[in-house]
Amino acid sequence: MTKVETLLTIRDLEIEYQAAEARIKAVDRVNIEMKARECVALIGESGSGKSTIANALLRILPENSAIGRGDILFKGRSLLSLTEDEMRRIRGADISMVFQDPHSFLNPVLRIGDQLSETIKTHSPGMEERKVLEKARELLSVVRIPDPAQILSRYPHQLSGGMAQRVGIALALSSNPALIIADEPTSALDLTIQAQVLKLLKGLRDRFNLSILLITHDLSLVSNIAERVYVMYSGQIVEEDQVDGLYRDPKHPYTVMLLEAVKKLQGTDTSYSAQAESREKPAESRCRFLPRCPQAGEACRSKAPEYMTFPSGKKILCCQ
Amino acid sequence: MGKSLNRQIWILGLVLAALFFVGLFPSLVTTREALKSGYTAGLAAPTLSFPLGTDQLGRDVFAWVVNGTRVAFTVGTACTLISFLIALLGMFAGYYGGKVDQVLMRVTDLTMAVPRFVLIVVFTTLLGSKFLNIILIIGTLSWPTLARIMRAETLSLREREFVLSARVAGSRSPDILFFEILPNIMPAVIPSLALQFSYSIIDEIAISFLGLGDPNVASWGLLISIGRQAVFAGGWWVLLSPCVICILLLVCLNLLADRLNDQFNPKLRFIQL
Repeated sequence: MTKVETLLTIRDLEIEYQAAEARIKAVDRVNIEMKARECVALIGESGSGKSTIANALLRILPENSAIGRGDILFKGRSLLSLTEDEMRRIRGADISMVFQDPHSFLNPVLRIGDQLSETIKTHSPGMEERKVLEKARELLSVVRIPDPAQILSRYPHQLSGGMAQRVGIALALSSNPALIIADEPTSALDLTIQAQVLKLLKGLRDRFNLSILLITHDLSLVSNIAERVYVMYSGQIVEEDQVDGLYRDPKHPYTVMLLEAVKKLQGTDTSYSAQAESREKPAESRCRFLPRCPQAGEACRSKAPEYMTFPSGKKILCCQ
Repeated sequence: MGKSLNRQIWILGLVLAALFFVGLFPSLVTTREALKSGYTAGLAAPTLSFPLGTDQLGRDVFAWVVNGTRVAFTVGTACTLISFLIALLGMFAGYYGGKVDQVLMRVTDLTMAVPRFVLIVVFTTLLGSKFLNIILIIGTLSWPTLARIMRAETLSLREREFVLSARVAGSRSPDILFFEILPNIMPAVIPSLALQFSYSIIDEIAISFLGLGDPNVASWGLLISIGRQAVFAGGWWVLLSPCVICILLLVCLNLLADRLNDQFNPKLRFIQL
C-alpha cells in the first residue's frame, strides 16, 4: 500500500447552539482527519462538544443548532452540501453509529430479529426473507452472541446490557459501513463487559476494515484501541497526537491534568493538586482553559492561543 | 391481580367470540329469514318453534336478533377500521409537526365541537339511508378522538432514542412511522378502538331506531322501534329480545375496552397492586 486514503476530514468546523438568550459555540474551529481503517479517539469532559461533532457527521443536530463555518468531507464529498435524501443514503450505509445506552436505542416493542432484518432490508431492498434472516443470524454471531437464533426472537428488555450493546453493534454493522461512530459505547456497561465490548470492536475493525471514531471521556479505553487521539476542551481541540505520544509526553496543561487525574484514581499518586473549576469566563479570544490552568502565565492573558506543531506530529493549542 | 385481569379479558373475549360466530354464520342458528313476514298471523308469543315469538307482521324475532348480530359486527368492524385509517393522520401530524399538524388539529377541533350524533343524523338524511352510507358516515365522523391519541403518543415517541437510531441507520420517514412508531402507539390505541367499536354500533342502532336506517337491513334498532309499538298489544318479547342482546354485546365490549386499558396502561397496573 503506497498511499493511505483519507476517509474523513473535518475542516474548521464551527457549531453554535441557540440557547434562550445567548448563542453558545459548542464546537470551535475543529479540524479532524481520519484515514481509512484508522481508529481515532475524541476525548473530553461532558459538554466539551464531542457528541455534537458526532451528530454533525450524521447531520442529526437538533433544530436549535447551526453549523456556522467549515466543512465535513467524507470520501472527498462534502456532507454538508448533500440533500436530506442523499444524506439518508449515507447514514447507515457508509457511516453508522453505536450509542451509549443500547436499551433506549432499541425499539422496546419489536423483537431483535425484526429490528435487524428491517435495517438489513433498508440497505438491500428486495433481499429474500430467508437470506435476511440468515444475515441477521450471522451478524449476531459476528458480535459473539451465543445462540443467535434464540436471541432473534427476544425483546430488548430480555437482554442484559452487554448483550443489548452487542445487538447495537450488530445493527451498526448490518449495512457494511466504512466508518462507525461509537459514542461512549461502554459508559453504560460494567467493567468486565466494557473490556469485552472493546475487544469486540477491535476485532471487528480488523475483520471488516472499519474506521472507528471513538467518542469517550474514559482515557483507559483510548489507550486500548485508538491509534490517534484528539483531546477536546470547551469546543476546541487542545491536543492531537499518536496515542503513545500523548501518554508519554502530554504537552497541553489540560491533558497533563487529565492524565494525572487517572493516576490519582489508580492510587499511584496521592498528592492533591486538582484545580477547582472556575465559573469565571475568559474573554472570547483568550485561551478557554485559562481559569483552570496551573501553568498560566502573563502571555496567556494578553494573546489568543495558537496551534503549535511539534516534530513528532503532536499539535497543541496553547500560548506557551 | 394480573392473573385475574387476564382471566376477565379471556372470559369477555369468549362471550364476544361466541356472538361473533353467531354473526358470521347466522344460518347455523336459525333457518328462517329475518325480515320475512307472515310466519304467523300477527303477534305471537314465544313457543318452541318461535323461541322469541313473532311481531305484528308475523316476522320471526329470533331470526331477526340473530341476523342483527351480523349487522352489529359489520357496522362495528367497518366503522372502526375507517376511523382508524383516518386517525393515522394524527400520527403523521405528530411526527411532522408544523403546518400539517396545525391544519389537522383544527379539523379535529371542528368535528369535535359539533355533537357527533347530530352530524350523523344530518348526513344520513342528506345522503340517503343506504346501509353502506350509514357505515361510511359513522366511520368518517368518529376519528378525531383516536387521531388525538395517536398524535399525542407520536409527539413523545418521536423524541425517543430508538427513532433517532433508526434515522441514523438510514430509514425513511414512512418506515420509521409504520415500523418504529406505530407498534409503540398500539397499546394506547387498542382500548379506544374497542370503545369505538361499541360506539359505532350504538350509533347505528340509534339511527335505525329513529327510522333513518336502511329498512332492508335487520338492525336491532329497527326491531326495538317495532317492539315499542308491540308492547302496547302485549308483545313485550319483541322489545325485550333485541334490548337484552344489545346490552349483552355493548356491556361486554365496554368492559373489554376497560380491561384492555388496564392491561396496556402500565401506570394503572402498578396502582392495582
